Amino acid sequence: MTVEQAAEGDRVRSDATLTAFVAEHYDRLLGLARLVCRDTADAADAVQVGLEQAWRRRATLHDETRLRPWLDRIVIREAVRVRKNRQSWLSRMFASRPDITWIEPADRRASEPSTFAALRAAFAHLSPEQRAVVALHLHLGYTITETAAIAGVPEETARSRLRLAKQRLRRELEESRS
Amino acid sequence: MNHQIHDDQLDHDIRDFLAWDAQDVTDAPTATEMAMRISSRPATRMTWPRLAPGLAWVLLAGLLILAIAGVAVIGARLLSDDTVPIGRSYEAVFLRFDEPTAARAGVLVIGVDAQGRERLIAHLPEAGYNAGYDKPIGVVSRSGLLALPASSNAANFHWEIVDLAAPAAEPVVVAGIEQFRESLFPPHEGFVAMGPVWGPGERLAIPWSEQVSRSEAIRHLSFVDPRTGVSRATEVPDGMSVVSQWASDGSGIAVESDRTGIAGGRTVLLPDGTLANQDSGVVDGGYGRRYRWDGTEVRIARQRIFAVSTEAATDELLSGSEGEIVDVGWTADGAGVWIVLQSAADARDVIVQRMLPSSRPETVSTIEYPTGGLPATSSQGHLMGLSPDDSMIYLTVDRWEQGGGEFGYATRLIAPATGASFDIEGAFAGWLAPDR
Repeated sequence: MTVEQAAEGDRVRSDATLTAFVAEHYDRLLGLARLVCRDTADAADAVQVGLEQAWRRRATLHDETRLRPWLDRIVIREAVRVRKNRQSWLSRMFASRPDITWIEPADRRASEPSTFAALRAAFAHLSPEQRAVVALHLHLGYTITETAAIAGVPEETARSRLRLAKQRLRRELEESRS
Repeated sequence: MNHQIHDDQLDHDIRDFLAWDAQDVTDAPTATEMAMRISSRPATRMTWPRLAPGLAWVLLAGLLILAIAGVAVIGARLLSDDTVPIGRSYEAVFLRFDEPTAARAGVLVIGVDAQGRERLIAHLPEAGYNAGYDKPIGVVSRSGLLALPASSNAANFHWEIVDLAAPAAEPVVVAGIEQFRESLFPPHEGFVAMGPVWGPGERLAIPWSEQVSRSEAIRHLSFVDPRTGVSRATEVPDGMSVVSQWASDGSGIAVESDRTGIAGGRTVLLPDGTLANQDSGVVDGGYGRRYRWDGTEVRIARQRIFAVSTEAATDELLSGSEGEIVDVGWTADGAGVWIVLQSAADARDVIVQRMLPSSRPETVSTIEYPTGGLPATSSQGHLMGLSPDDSMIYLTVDRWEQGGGEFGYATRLIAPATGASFDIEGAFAGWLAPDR
């Protein structure tokens, strides 16, 4: 076997491992980033950057049981960063598409529970950091302590963000039912 | 009719919604496509904004608008003699861990201007000393020398100086200071220094404590040459606090004691350990600015504001205000006073006012509900940093909420010229001069 053949074999094996790595975590990470970004393209950007970072630095993770929170941490922070960049006036000025309220496919909207419209509107008005805490705690099921560690904020900050976010969601939900 | 939703039901509804919404990714690339993207792009990719096809026109229009706006702003600033020229304002410096939850992390040094815009000044991958805080601790000089703690061993740390103009260069190690990990505190608590204090001519003083037994510690103040790391230590007299302000002539650092009546405006601790009455006054440390250039102190007493001279003569500057006076500090020129109030109503908003000579205070910024949406019993705002040109104020807010008795802590960077306030991530480290 030549050196070139060996290198090609290594590359193919590495690609296969990468594909398996992405396939295992992609759906969860994309959903998480989507909740923070409120935009599928931005979410995919965040996941791509997050997975690239994770793949390059995977050798530094010695405890496999920490892989999932480690990935979630990288992606959630990238999602917050991407979202905040999108909110800057410079990005809005140069964005190819203005902030559009996308109309969902009819079949999806038709099957949507009635409370979701109110929750969606309220959720969109939360800050990216608040959405990150809500998503980590209520969607992925992390404890508050774990959520704070992943979001990189003190526990009291995570609690405060969660409380404020739920307060707003509750208000919208109650008004929609009144 | 208002429908009260039980907490459990609310959580259940939110979870259902999140699960539904997280699935709304029909336009996203598949996992295989994503793997191919990553595989074909091994290096870090910058996520630039997606650009419009008609970008050239947008750019041209944008440049034209910016040029017109620029001319207008420059003209307005030239006509106003109390504002800072564009591009010549101080920058607030904040420190962040690059991997906040990692056992070993580097430090990002971020500059923030009066518009709240951030820029990365330096990435110090080897500088992250974590003593249990969620943010790095450090103090920067006006010219860009950054004092940071660094690990000596598992229990102790020492200080190092990084030149932000050459962040990759070996840091200067400060000799002669070894501290317990537990004795590392945020360096400035208002006007009291608990860590490095930069002074005129890049002088550096570091208050620190040496644990000589399980229950006894000696408090030192080391005067440091930041270019060589050579230091000279003296003991801080019992009952005295080091103030974040140097004597103007660089001879020593201001100290004060409520117990003995020694005030920081008129007493300095010299490198040989003696206390001296100084005549040259004190320089602005960029923190609380309790003492004016001539040593006159601004003080709150019974909800009134007084100026107390070095001869202990008092002059009442203000009696009565729109809210409860929580903190005060001199303006940069020493003629006026910055005032932090909490509003009397349930909201307990934090109000920042500027009072010029012979004038009533004018509100420059109001921070509503800094940490939450619940009514508060108290919102204590503190002037933790005042830029030397008064273009920015760094404020911390301690807040106690009604009902649950929860405690909140928030920070804000305020631009008095516009009244805007910004929530900046990271630990405040000082101010960088525009012409450094």
